[in-house]
Amino acid sequence: MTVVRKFHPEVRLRAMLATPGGITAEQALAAAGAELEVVRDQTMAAVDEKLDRMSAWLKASQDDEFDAAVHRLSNDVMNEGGAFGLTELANAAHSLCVFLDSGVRTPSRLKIIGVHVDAMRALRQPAVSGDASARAAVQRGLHDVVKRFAADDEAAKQRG
Amino acid sequence: MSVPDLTRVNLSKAIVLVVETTTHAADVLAQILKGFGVAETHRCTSVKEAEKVLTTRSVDLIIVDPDVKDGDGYEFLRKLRASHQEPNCYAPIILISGHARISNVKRARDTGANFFIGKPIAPNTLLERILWIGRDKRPFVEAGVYIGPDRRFKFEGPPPNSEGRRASDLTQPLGDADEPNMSQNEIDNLLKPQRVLV
Repeated sequence: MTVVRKFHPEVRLRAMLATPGGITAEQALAAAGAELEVVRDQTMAAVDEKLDRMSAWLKASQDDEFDAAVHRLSNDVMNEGGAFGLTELANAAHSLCVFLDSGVRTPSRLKIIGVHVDAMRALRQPAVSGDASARAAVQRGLHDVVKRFAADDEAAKQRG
Repeated sequence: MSVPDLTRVNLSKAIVLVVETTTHAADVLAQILKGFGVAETHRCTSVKEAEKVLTTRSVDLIIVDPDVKDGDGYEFLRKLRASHQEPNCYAPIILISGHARISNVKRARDTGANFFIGKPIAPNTLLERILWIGRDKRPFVEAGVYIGPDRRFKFEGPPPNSEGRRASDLTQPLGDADEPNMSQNEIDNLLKPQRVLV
């Protein structure tokens, strides 16, 4: 039988947070926002570099590591872009992660991955990234194209 | 849910270990923590680096993306909890993850982390969770292979100013009793078997 031990270890963080002083939550959040701005440019450059790598992989042959590598990069793009409020970019990256995780092996698979990468690259273009309606249009377009590819795959499956 | 503006945050002596998948992601977290007034943040992008930091520093909070590139972040956390190397083995752990692969969801639950946050990280969410850990009264549990905070949360009724979602949720506070308490004799008499004449 498993012996269960319950106890309350000393947690210094708890004591620190209960100590008077410090700053207000409002000040903390404002300062965090300002500190984030310091790394915005370098993080955006890293996001663009990851998108370039994904494009390059798509053009090269896809080996066994392809799915895992693209999933990892897409996850990073979602995290790093999303931290700076690039919601549409994060949504597109998340959609790619979900697709890769689904393990779908249909004829349109590579096209679906490619259209995700293209959409993310488009969202990083200055003309699109600064225009909310353009970003929404790219997101809608991605959704529609993926849906059409999936329908094509389903039709091909029905035909046998 | 958001943090009330006037809540005080005192992290001026806190030492935090950040284990992230990329240096840029680690920088993002470190900058947020700097804004919160954290004294010292150690950024790592591998399990090996993180283990090295933990051998030399006592940390107050560990924030980990288990998809760290050189190894298995879940196993790193499980080993840390089981290491009995105080105080780091009891340090609060926040797991952060982007799109977690389905196979890893159960593992995340069993690492002994205090909280799980989905990426991308918003400063407001992170601060809320840190403050929540400060209020968390759950005991640590050591049961077989699991070591970490009790995974069961006490149900304390529906959130204030809401009616709750369960059919059994009370919509009004019970309030004070409107009759005097029963005496022990009265209670005993209620429970005592009685002969019933039919």
